[in-house]
Amino acid sequence: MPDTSAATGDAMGRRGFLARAAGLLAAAGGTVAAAVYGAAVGYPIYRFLMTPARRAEALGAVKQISFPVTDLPPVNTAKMFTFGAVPAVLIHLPDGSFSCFNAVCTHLGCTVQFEPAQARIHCACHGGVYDMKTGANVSGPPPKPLTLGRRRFTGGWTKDWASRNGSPSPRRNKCRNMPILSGIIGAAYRFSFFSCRP
Amino acid sequence: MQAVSGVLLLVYFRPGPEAYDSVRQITYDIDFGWLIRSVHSWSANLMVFAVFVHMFSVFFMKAYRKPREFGWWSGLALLGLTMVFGFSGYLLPMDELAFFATKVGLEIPASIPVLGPALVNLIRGGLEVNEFTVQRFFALHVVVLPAFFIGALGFHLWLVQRHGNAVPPSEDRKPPAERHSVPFFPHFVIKDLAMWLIALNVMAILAALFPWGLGPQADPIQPAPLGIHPEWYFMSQFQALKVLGHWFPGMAGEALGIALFTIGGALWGLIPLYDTTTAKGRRARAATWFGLIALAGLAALTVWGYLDKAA
Repeated sequence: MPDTSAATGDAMGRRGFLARAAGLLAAAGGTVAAAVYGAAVGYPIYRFLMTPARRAEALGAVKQISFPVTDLPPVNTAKMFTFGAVPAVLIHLPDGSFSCFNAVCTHLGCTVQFEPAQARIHCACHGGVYDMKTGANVSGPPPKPLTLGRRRFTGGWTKDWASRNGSPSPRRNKCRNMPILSGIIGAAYRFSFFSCRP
Repeated sequence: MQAVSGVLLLVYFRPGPEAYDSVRQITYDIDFGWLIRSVHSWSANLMVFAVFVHMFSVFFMKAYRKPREFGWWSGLALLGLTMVFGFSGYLLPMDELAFFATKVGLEIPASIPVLGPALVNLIRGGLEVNEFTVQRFFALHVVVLPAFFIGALGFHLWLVQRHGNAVPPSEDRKPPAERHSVPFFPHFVIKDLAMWLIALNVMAILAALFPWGLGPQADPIQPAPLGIHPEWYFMSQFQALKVLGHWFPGMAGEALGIALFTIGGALWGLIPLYDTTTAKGRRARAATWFGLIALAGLAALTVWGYLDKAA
């Protein structure tokens, strides 16, 4: 009887190789198809769920807000407002000047408040205290000062609030000065903020 | 598909007085909201269609016979739940069509003697379809029905596991050794996956090319628009009531229609009890004819309904 095992083995080997190659090809094709389907299904869902966040980001692109002089808070009081999507505080200081800050505590993101009796800005969540004029972190857990607003008075003169108070230049702090846009009726105070890059 | 798209819609849908505005926001304002909503609506329709196809295939294959009677009944319960899902979901956008479809649809249970009107007021949350109706249909649609559905589906699938797939009568007559079968893995799984992908693609094409629209906001003071009609799966009942109402004016037509549907439905549901396996193991031709007549009747009434609407 002739020995055919080598030939059969060879044929089986080739067949086995082809079967394995076809299997691998099918697995690769399946993986690609699954990825394509995953992306086709996942992308609209991602965009659907992200819409409000995207809208809020677009709101955050508001660079400047204006108050008619008549809307300014009385001396030694503060006015809370939203600057884009974030809360902000405008303080009419006892000496008649103004300070304006992003009201988000630099510790864990609570909204801070002006406390006229203590002449300070206070965060009720963890007791952080900031200077009401400069926004510097004075005591408690906040690691950084509040982001300072820059004041302009329309109708004659413009003053850079940050530099008048001797605060560090936002550019030196790698902060980005948001461009200016605003519609103003009559005399108004306009405030623009610096947002720090993470 | 329904669960995923439904949960996504839940993210933005606000039941109650704001229902219409929130659906308008989903459809026109939120990124890909139109697609998610369209997928939910198309997929709901395809689900009802698939349930009907499954029911008729089970019927004609005699798969309701002993020991699968409870499979048949739990399947009918699932069909009923699916239709209530459709009915309750249809109102949620609170547009003109949804409002009148619900108003008309609720008139049918309202015609049940004695209990009907109180029952409908309970379902409706008032004497008219209003924001409370949306609120309770919403609760029904997203909490109550899914809870019942999961239970019924679990029972249905457990029965399939317990009794195995039914064998068509032609195969049943052969000795077990001669029956044609395929292994579950990979053959059946691959076929199932392929069918699933085809269904997904069909649904995606329909949802993308024929996005579900939104009509004007429901206004109870406005008259019903011409050509108003329910979804296609309620069209046969709607048309039957309309025709019988013409033939037998007054409440007689409606009563006759409801009686016919009740008797037909009862005969349909109880078929495992009277179409049992014959001594020779043959098909019972009477039951098959009953099925064919029911199918043809539903199809004819549905087509008639759409032709009537177009005329």
